[in-house]
Amino acid sequence: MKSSRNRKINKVRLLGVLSLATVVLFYASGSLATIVGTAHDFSSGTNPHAVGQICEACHVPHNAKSTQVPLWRGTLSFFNPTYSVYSSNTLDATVNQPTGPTKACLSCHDNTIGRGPLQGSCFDCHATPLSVGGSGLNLEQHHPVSFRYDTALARQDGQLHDPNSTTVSSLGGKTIRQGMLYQDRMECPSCHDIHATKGDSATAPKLLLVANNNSRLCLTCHNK
Amino acid sequence: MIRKTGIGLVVMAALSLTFGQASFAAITGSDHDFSTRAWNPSGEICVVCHAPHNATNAIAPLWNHKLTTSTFTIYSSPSLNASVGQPNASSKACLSCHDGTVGLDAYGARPGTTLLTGSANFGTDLSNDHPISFTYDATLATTDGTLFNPAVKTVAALGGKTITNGMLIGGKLECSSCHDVHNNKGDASTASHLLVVNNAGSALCLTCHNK
Repeated sequence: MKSSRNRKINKVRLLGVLSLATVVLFYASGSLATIVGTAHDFSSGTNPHAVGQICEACHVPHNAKSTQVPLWRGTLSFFNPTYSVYSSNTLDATVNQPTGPTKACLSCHDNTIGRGPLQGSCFDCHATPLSVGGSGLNLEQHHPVSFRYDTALARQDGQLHDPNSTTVSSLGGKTIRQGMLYQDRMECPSCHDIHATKGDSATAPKLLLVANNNSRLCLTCHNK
Repeated sequence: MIRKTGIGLVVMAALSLTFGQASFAAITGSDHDFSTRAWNPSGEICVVCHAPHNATNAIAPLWNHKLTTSTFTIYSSPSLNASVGQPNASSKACLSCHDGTVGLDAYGARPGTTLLTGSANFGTDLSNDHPISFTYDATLATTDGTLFNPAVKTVAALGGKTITNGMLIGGKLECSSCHDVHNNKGDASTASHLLVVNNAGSALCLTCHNK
């Protein structure tokens, strides 16, 4: 009798574990992918500071040079170019020069000598610029970044969701403000998860925060 | 208990995937939702017209579609007082599919080969289409005599904005004065013309025309 009960309990436990395993696998297929193997996995590259390493291209465990990005290898203000920022006659936001995390991204993605992550090293002058896909110093043809996105802007614009009350299901139900904004500002990592491919399709490795099928990422904020 | 929790999690995961945060956006499911068209393998909606990177702002915000280079035959009429020119940028954006000369799929770097067919293809002869790209101001309204003053006339369906503020682009009537290209909010479900104001009782026409 007792062993029969134990078998039953074990059966229930087994089913439970299997169900959980299914959920974990389900999410692992898309949601929990990591930086390994992504476009930001530089371990097979020639960067002498990060031979065989991934994180070291951007972060160091000691003697980091910036507090704007956790343990950032370089000094974000070492070079301080002025960018041409986005403007449009339908734009209500005030777009500033790139700030915080966006500056970190542009340290490579503005297509100039790879100054950002490797500043303060020999690579200040001898690094290889990003060859394709960089923005240059002209950000006018790119979605605006480094602007305050708050309830007031949403109201003024009329075609933006309120970041304080709009929740994003694929970000665990966080609001836009909690899950996507940086000090209430939209920055590059508001759309791009630079450390993972979790929202992205395997065929378009843009490191998106939310999968963009049916333009879901765009329509997270844009009320169209 | 564990099993119940497991099943609950599966159900929640399925629900969260089913109901994306964009489910209620108005372009979704409209005639401008191209996400399931064979010529649009991206599976996205916005990208056919807009891109977040490497786009142009000369035509419309972050514009990503090849532009028409057509010269259009424009509307004229003995009773027309407005001065109608070649389509302006915002209307050219529309005509870059709707004149039938540029592929629907000519977005990003794609050359585009699938042309718009049917009644929404106006061709390059706009002489039989409502005039666009003309200045609509108080002077025109006075000259014409059967148009409301756009600076004064308010539109309830547009939150009480004036015609000038809610419908005109740079003081001019363009395609988007009547059509909300991103929404079907004003439209009857049976006639998806993406109108800015529901046209029951010709309410949209009579917004400007004092008839």
